[in-house]
Amino acid sequence: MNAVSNTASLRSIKFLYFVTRVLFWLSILFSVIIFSVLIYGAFGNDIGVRVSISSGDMIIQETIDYSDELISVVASDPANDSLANALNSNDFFLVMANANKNFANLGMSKEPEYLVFNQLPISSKLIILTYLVLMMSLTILSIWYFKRFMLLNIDGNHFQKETIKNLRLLSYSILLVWVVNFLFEIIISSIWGKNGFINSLDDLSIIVDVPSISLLLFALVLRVLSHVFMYGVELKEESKLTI
Amino acid sequence: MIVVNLDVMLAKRKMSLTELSERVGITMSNLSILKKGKAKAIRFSTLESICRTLDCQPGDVLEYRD
Repeated sequence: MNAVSNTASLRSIKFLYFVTRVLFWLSILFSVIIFSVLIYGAFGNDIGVRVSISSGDMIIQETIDYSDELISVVASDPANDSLANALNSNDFFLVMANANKNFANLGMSKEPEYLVFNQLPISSKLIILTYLVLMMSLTILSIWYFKRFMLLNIDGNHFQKETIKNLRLLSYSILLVWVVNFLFEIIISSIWGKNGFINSLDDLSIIVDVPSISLLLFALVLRVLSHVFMYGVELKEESKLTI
Repeated sequence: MIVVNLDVMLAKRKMSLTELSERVGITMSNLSILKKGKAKAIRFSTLESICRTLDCQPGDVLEYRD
């Protein structure tokens, strides 16, 4: 009975390892494609990507109805001279797009607000590119450590220093994903946020949300587990060297 | 630190490690670990078998040094 459950467990781990391998190569492919497209857009080519100014999230332009006509209407209205000047004097275009109501607004709308990626200044493009490169690299690194951890387990090296080292490095890389995400959300919201640097609990609640805390907790639990397993490795060695 | 004087006792009794291994019932690799001082612990049953075979006291096999 025990042998049967062990075999089933090994099969599921082997299947999980196969899925992780596929995920690893897919993430590399996906990262290369995204990076190439963004580099293409960084040189001024329109790639149809909009960046959320509140969170830094990126979307492909599909539902946002943004057109030059809307901007010209706003800019030509004498009542909106200050608005037109603001638009022209800004370092980059601030486009508030609304798919349903089809109007342009500045700072008054509660609708999602987006910037056109290829019209951003080079410093903003660099920040977004750095953020994405770091996030993609750390994600690939995490999957790679997980893949190594699974492989060592399949080979039967459960309580080996190398296996536990991979678990520990996995926890560090996931922790770094959280830290990088947290820092860049602060940077992005302080650059493009309405209130400048974070000065309200509402802004902070966007950054420290439940999924983000879950990721932090997951990384910390993995770190503690690696410590527990390392103690297991020591016990195993002690048992082996007891005559 | 604890020093294992197994080689000294073996020389005194004019016994080889292989013979001790056969008479005590411990593998050669484990006896070698014990002789080289790499062992982390020793069971009372093992120590008893070694002392019975070599006709000595535990203090003859194990020694504490600063």
